[in-house]
Amino acid sequence: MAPYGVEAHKVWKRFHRGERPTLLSDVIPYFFHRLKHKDTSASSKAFWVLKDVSFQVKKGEFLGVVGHNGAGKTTLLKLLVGIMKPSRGSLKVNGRVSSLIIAGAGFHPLFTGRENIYLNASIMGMRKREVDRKIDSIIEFAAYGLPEYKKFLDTPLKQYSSGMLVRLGFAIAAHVEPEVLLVDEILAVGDIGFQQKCLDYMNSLKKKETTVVMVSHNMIHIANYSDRVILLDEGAVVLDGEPATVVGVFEREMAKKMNWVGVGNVPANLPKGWAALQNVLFVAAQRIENALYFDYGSPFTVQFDYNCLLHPLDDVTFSLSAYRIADGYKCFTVFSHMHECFPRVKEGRISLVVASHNLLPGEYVLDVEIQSLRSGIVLAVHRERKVIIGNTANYLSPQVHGVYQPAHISWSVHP
Amino acid sequence: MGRAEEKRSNSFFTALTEVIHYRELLISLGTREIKARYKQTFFGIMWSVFPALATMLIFTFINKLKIIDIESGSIPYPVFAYCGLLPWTFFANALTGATTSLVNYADIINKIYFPREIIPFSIIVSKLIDLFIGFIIFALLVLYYQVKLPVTVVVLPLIVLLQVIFIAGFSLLFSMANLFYHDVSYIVTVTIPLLMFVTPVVYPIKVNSPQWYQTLTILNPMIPITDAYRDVLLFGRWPNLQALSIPICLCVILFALGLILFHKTEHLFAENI
Repeated sequence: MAPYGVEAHKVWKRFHRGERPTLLSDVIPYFFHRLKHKDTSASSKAFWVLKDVSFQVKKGEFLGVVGHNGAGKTTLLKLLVGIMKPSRGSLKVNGRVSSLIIAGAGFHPLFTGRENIYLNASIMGMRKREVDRKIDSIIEFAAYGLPEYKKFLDTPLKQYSSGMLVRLGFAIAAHVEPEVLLVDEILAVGDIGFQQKCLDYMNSLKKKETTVVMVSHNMIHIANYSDRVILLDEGAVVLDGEPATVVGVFEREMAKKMNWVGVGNVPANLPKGWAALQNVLFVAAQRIENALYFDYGSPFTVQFDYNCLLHPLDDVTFSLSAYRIADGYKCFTVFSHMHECFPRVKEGRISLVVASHNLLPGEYVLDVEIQSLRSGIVLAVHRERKVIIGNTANYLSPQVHGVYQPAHISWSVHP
Repeated sequence: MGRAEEKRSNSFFTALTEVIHYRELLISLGTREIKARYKQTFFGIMWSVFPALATMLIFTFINKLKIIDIESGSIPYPVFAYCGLLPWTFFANALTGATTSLVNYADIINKIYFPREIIPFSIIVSKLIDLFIGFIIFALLVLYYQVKLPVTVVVLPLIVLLQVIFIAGFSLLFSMANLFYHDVSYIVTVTIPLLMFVTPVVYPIKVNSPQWYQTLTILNPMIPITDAYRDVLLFGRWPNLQALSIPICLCVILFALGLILFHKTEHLFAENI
């Protein structure tokens, strides 16, 4: 019995995007072009998507894969499934593989839910006898928390809402029972109740000793479920180790990259005069050198002037966000439109009173922003890069950790 | 057997075993193709037979009007024409459909693993079902015109099998070519109708046809195949094994080569689609 569920050994993968002619009529001209320009070698338009990737996943182990977009995570999964072959190196997968890369493959809108279950299951590798055995369980899974769902099984899929479609897709995929499962960012879908069901399924995989390789941007899921995590950056494995460590490093990298964004007050690519923030003041805070200083538990007020010369006023909202510098964690965002504050004129002054922010002592970044309500695009931003929340009164005991302290709590003893 | 040949035969059997392993998927995709085509249509499955019937009717009509003059001997012309149109429609539809099949299934190819041969093969399965419906209509025609079905009908399944192998080989090659070069499907759609005119589908082959035509017979397996259909269904003649020997070899070799080539390049599909 092979001890490893998945093995990758010195895997390299190269793509030749945009280089090949796609019409027969282009083949001959392309051939001559290549002859003429012998110096521009084939690799000029090719790029390495994976570089010297090696790792091993023990049977039953759960490997998390994290990295920025374009780091090569999805390509790695595709190589593991067998859809592509590596340019160099080798991959080995021991056991029946299934992938949760797409839910609802082959779904046809004109067929009923029941018919699509059989079709999709067969595409995912299940035999008809197996589906017959599992169909009731699949239906129960998809209808979790939604008993009316069962009535929809004999209606064509085109009448399903998108949430109902993902339920069905996930329910079928959850019944494939592979020995190795590859998951690409589709860990939990649907409404909150169903997402819980998806996470229960993830837990059941651990009990069944399924080897799992999971790609995700959701650090909470990665940290909760992985036994080990690898960090991919531009195709290479940069880190391979404990989930908490690797996730922490990744989030710090992201936070660092974030600090480079938004130098100055306005995003560089917006036209001047669109929307702007000026004269941002934090009242009841002290400015010591370059840092803004608050005391723990003290209220503060933010005050600023805005002008929205070009952007429609009814699409504007103001926000204050706080990020913890240590790990880039976003602590909170408060929006003006959620508190009945709407700008009525193109230029004016806004003030935000924060009676108790409840953030624990530490270093933070505060962003004051003007955002578009509909698209969420940031129109203008003012960033305080160093905000220190202090503990001068020594009010908090050193045992206190976390993100914030809840306010208005009371303890009592009932002897 | 040299090492290269050994590898080749291994590839062939691996590919074939994989396809057989996924046979249930092959059937479900094939039947899904057909069902999907006719959902929400008024005439439903009858649309499978309308084109062949319509072609037969048009040719019968212009034959009756002596615009063209085709002698079909003792068999009534409509039956003769329809009998030739059955294998032709199967060939034309299957090859055209299979050529574009891989590109049509692009998103599944990019996400899920199963042997890609299943995709063009499932198109062949769905057109095979159309062929069976065509046979039912043919039986009705035979009853109407009171033509006697000869005992040679029993070998029809073998002839259909030969045709399937022939189409399968080309389907693999063309679907693969179309994936890399998208204009292959246009070439196929244009060439097939033209090919119908040089193949004796609605006219019988003349015994004393010129030498160059005889050589063409070898290159176009549809000619002996159509003849075989007519021989067993209408004329009560056992299929001409001498005429069929070279096409049979060609079809089998083409199928084997197609399967090996397809299997070896499968891994390039996802990045080139």
